[in-house]
Amino acid sequence: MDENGRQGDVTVLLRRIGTADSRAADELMPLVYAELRSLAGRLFRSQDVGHTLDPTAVVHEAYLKLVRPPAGDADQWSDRLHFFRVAATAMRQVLINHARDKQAAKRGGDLVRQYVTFSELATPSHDSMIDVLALHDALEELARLDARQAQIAELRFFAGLTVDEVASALNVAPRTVQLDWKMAKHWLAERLSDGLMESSA
Amino acid sequence: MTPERYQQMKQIVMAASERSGAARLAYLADACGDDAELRVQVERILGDSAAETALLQSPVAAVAFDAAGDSSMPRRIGDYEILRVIGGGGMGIVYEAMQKNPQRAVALKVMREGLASESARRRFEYESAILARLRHPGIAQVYETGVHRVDDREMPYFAMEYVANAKPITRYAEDNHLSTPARVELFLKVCDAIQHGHQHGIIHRDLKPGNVLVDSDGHVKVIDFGVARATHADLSVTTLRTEIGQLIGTLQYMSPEQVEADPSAIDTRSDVYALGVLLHELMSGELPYHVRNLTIIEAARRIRESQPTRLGAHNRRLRGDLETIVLKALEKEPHRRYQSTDEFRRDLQNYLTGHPISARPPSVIYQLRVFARRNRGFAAASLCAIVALIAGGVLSTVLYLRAESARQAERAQREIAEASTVEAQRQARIATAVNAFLNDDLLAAVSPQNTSDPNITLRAALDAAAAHIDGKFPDEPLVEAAIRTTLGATYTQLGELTAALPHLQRAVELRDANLPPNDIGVREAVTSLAAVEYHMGNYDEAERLFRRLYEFSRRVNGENTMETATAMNSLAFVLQRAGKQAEAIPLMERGVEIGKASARDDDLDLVQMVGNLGQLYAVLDRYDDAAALYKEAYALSQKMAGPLHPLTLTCGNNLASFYNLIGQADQAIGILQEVLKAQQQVLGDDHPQTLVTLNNLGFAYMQQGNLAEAEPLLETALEARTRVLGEKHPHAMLSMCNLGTLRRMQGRFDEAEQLHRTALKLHTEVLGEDHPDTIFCLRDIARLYDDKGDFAASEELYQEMVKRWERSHTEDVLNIAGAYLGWGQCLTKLERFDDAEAKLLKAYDLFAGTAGPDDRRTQVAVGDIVALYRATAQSDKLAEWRTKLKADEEVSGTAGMTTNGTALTQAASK
Repeated sequence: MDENGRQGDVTVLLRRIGTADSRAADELMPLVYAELRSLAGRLFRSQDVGHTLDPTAVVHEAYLKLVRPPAGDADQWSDRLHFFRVAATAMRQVLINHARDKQAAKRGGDLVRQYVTFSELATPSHDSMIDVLALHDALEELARLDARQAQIAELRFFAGLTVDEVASALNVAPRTVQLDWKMAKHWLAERLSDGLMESSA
Repeated sequence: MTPERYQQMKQIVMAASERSGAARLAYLADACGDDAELRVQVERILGDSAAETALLQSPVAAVAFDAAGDSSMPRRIGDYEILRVIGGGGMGIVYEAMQKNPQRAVALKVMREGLASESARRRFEYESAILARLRHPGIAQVYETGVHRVDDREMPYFAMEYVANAKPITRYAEDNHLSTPARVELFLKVCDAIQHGHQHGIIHRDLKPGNVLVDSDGHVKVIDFGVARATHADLSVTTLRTEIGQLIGTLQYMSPEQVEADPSAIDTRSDVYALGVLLHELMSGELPYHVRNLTIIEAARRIRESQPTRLGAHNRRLRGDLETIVLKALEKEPHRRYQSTDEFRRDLQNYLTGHPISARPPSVIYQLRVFARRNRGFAAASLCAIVALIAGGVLSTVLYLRAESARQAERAQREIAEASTVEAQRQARIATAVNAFLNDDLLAAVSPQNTSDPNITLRAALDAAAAHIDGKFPDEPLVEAAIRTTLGATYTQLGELTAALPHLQRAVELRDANLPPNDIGVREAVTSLAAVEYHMGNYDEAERLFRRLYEFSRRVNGENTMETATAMNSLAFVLQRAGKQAEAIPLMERGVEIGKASARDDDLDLVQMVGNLGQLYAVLDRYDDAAALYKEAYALSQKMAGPLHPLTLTCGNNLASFYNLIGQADQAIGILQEVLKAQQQVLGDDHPQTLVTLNNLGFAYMQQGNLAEAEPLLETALEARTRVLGEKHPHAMLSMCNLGTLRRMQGRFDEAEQLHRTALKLHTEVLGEDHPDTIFCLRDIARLYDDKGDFAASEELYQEMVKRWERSHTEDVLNIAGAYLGWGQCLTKLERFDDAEAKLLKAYDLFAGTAGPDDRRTQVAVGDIVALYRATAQSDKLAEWRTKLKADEEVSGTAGMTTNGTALTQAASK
């Protein structure tokens, strides 16, 4: 009854039924997703359209809440990376679903876009509001060009991992991540600004 | 761009980054040849500044999307040349711009591009129309409003007075070392400006230093009426959405009624309060409440309940009249404050000129009131704590309920924009009434005056509030419906379905009677009720309601739409649960058909629908159809969401599990390999989800008899799960069982026994003796003894299993049946035929009664019984039981067969 509004009930019902067949499904993803969704939902609810939301902060809050890492426990390091790998995907999905829900809730073809500020993408002049769906599309496209770059971008944007953390998580050299990330960012910037120019030309 | 091209570029970038200076240039010239575009792209990527590379090292690198940022700034809008961005809010971006004619600098507020919807545009125009009515030297003037057209999109904007070199009032006072009287003088100008707004029916609602500027000449300019709403009757409904957001941002300047997010309580006196905070800060440099670093709930509580710091506490010289004036402006109850900005201003003038002020120091009654308020707050706070426990969430229910009234108010607001005045007023009345009910009846129910129980639960509070509804709104059925909907939703959230039901039912009745049939309010009510009925298992009633929703969608959205398809799917699902397969199947099939025709390319609901249809077929034993649908859902998800999407992986796993379940291990293996590869790529080798697939793949191979393939997989699964999850994690323990089974099948009995014994010990420790998984461990060991031919040992174990199953009151009769079957088979081997007969017949009864006479497991039992009668030469019984054997399945009662059958069930259930 919360962020979806009541029209979400049927969907929720179906999803629950549909995923009841969780025999082989892992427990982590839905758990993380639910937690992120609830945390993000709280922010979505409490803010105006076109609000800012820091996905990284949400993911970290979820991490603290779900994992409760004991201080200074080195063994938790890999757990942490696993968590953030899942969480990045889940967070992205939360944002997309939220944006889509918003869109779907609007009848009559109104264009409603969800903007989110990524700390990663903040510009010095003003907060850079990134259209979640446009970013999602761009990332999907990037994934087709270079899957790892898209994954790096996802981990950076949605889970806020550092280059070194991304490198450990993906088991590649930090230098490689750095170059991949640089290229990915460049490509995304072009892709997103292309979109802007196309539609405002 | 093609992947090939991208990879080519990537290679060049990587190689070039290894070089520098001339070597790099030479390399680029060589690598790019005369492909100028490639060269440009590569150089752009490489050319990003060194500073950026440094930034990349920091955890949250503030790397700018410069290109996107700059190109999104238009060069010109209407008559205005855009110079730079000076601010941004939820509604829009504010630019500094230059107007041609007349030539002047303006602040240009432009709607965010994507928000240029019809309703947003109306809101914008409405906002600027109000502002255009304001003409005051202390208020930033709105010059012009307009709509900037780009292609077919409209970007509304308004141009307002640009306040050059302005500072927030508090900083201005500090920087210029203003004396106390000079500060009061300055503040009087602010009061003038706000008073002007109030005279025009406008509440500022967001007064804070950042919105009260002073330019270099000492002129006050109040800016940003972005959240201003008129107080005229026809515009009386305010949107709470804004306030709730502001709870985070500008809490310090908000009056208690704003903190409580009560739209009906906000009026010009809320601005008086904010002015009081501003004056307090202007005088002392401090805020009256310290709410930084507190949670929202704590901060809100402090503002509502605690007494503000007195000015004199910061500076003794501010004691006396000025302190009293500020305290009066900061009164919790609006009616105890200055009733207007003008009154506030006059008292300040009295202070400046040495006249007696009207404000009086706080009285004893005042103190008592504050005390009472604190107590009320305490009750509310304990309510929050309880709710947090119940719901497991962070958000307090008080805030939830306020958000609920916010939605009511928001909806009313929307209606105002879109519907007639009469309708708008009706919605406004409903919103206000719901609000009043939540505050007076629900929240008041937990006040100490009304309850002696400090630990009153939310459930009790809801019950108390619910008792007040009956007969309270004889003439306002829609108000009652809205309140009951809210109550029903809250009960539902708490899982109190029985309590929710009557309210939701009544809400449907009321809306049916008082709204047109296609009204969205009717649909909302029916949807909530349908979900509750379904979850309570009232399938007939749920069916009726889902049917209504389906009809509703057909009328409103049309037959061939995704909405209607989804509604059909829901209805069909309920029909199936109600046992009406004949009706469910064609309906769901039709829904999928429509869904396929009308779904967008990325509509993941379609995947869900196709999966549901597959499940329906599976339930009906139409395995081929089910497999086809599961497969289709998997393919669709791959196409729509991509091969690495979690939904795709889930669909893949579901498909594989299904294949496993129907004994098609080959098919399952193919899918699992695919899923595993994707998971290893996305999630990594050690991810729990990857390990689930690894385990299932190993199991599928084992089931297929391909022990060589299964071995490394099951070994790795056990090793990784133990390492990643710990040896006592259910997944790790299951892996141990699986590896044990593999060793048994390999004939490595000692290793098998050791694994199974360890698994049994761990399971017993973690889950207890009678947990199904622990009992499965016993079964594993029994099978091991069966294989070794030590039937005396296994017989004891089967006996123990039956005892434990029956003791554990398992709902899954098939487990008990399985244990009896194994027991009977074992006794047969021991040639204790009488005992064996009894156990096998028992097993047969249980299997046949639960799964039907033709079920594979039932048939195994029949086979065993037939074999027993053949061995004991009981020809009458033999003839009788042979007729129960399905002709096409000459099932011979072997332990091996059963092993696979039940092991499969176990694997699938995990």
